[in-house]
Amino acid sequence: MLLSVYNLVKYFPVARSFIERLFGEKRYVKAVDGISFEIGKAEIFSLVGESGSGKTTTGKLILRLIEPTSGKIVFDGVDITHIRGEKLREMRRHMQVIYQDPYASLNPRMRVGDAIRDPLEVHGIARGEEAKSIVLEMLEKVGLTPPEDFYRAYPRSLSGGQRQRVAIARAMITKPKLVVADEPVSMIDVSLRASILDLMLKFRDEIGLSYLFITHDLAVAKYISDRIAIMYLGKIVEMGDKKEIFSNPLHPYTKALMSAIPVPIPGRRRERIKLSGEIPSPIDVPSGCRFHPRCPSKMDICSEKEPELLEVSKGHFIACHLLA
Amino acid sequence: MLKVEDLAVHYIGRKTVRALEEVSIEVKKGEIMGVVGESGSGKTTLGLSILKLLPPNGRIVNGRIYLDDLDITSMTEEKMREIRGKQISMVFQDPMTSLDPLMSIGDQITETITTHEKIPKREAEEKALSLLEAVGISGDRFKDFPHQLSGGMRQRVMIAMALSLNPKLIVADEPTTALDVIVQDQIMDLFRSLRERFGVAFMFISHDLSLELEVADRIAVMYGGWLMELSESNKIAEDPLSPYTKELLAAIPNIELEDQKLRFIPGNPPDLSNPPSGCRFHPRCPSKMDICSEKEPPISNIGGRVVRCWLYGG
Repeated sequence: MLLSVYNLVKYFPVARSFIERLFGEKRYVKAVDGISFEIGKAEIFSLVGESGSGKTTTGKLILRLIEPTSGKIVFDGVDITHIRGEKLREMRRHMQVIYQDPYASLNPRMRVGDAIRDPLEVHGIARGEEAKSIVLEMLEKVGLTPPEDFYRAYPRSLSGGQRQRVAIARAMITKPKLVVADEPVSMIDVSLRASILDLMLKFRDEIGLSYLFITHDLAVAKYISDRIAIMYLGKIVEMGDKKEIFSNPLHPYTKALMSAIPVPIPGRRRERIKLSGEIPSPIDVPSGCRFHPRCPSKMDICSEKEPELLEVSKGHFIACHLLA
Repeated sequence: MLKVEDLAVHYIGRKTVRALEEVSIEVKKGEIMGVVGESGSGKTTLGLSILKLLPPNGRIVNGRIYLDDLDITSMTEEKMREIRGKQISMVFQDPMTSLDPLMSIGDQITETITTHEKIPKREAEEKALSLLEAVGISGDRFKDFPHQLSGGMRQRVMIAMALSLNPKLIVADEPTTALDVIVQDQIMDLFRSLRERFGVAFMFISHDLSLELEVADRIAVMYGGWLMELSESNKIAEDPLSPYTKELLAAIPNIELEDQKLRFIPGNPPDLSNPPSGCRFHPRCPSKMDICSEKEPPISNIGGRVVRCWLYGG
């Protein structure tokens, strides 16, 4: 396995007033509350969830941008949960990131060529003319041609789709083993999304890297992933191969999520599984199964005992008392 | 009921942006009219023009907008204030920017009613309460402040407010884009039920063609400030005429399909301060002919369907 995550937890303390601090007990936002998963070599693994599900926090934990409360992260055979300094810098060369907003992720005062070249020099991979020729080759590869023109360009002269190509080029330039992509196409026009996704697939095939693909969009996840995990309020509720998840979804939340996605066929209102309300606050997590207040199949046990994530068939995991 | 005729809107500046040109759309009573387009398509400009809420550099340089027989285009700002809310109202993407954070939601709706209608406060409060209930918010949240509500509930409050003066038309610009998909589904159900219950029409503006196909009766497809195609939703999905609509449909991931091959449209949306010659879509069009880069295509009417493409006209 390239990446193994064991029982990862991240609680953020809630800011409180002085009086509350004196008398109240400590309260936490339970953003990620004990999740485990693995990503194989050249595998695309998606974390899918609504806002507040903990998917973005999970990505930041794995990138070591924030410290986990507990749990363990093993990357390429090395426990990276608490590494620092030079070791952390070395790890970053092999684990890169692509963000959602290509307007915010590029330095407006840095030429495109310099932005892509920067990681090469930071990690001591190449400098000078050699670095430049690697960058030009990369620009060509991500479809920004003629590469000389884009090398000199500033981000402001590029469209959203072109900026995201620059972000991908910068992530790929160190030939990473894992790329964390957090909603990489959410801000891209629909007509251009497939070109960005296909570019990411091309890099997977060419250099054999893996992706942790974070998205709220099940349809995009279905297009790009090998395996999928569905998150709800800091927990994985269902996980498995893409085909299995879409042909045989078992968790009531997964089913509801799928049924709410619009399908581009008019009059084709599929059977909807209606949920009431919205995701509750991760500060006041419901007892037992955290989905139980909204679950259409709720039983007595659901408010009392938290279901474990169990393997119900080969590689298909689900946390629900219905299947225990 | 609403008739947009040959509308053109430009943003005046160092470079004039030709944001909207030759756009004609009608919205019928009680209809959900979808307007779909990508960034720079002019869909938001269209919505703002109808309410005459364009930014200061936005000018209606051609065309007319009629509400029933009233010409909105020539109306003074004072008159327009009578129209907004009472005849046409608007719901935006981010409800927080339109709600007063220091006032309870019930009071905000009540105030909207009492500033426009001469009725006693008690009566207005009762109406506000029934509106909240109509959009699915329980009456005991009347005194809640916006920050106490979830994103989906805030958008419901905005819809209640938009309904409060019994308008004929609600212009909703990306009303669910900031919301999760399950909440989006709930809001779409709400639109349908409000249409049934109050007979209100919607102009529903979105970048999401799948969503429009599920909700809208008819759909206007916009690109680069032009109306490329307009017809019933099922025709848009089953037999699209414009090459742009066809390409857009092929670019949408569909969770019901196995091993779907997605297409994308090469190139980028046009720069409207310097739009392409001829058809604005021609640099990206797979069906491009010689004439497409030379002359602007006419707007054709084919069996009640509108399409702007040289494949069908000339």
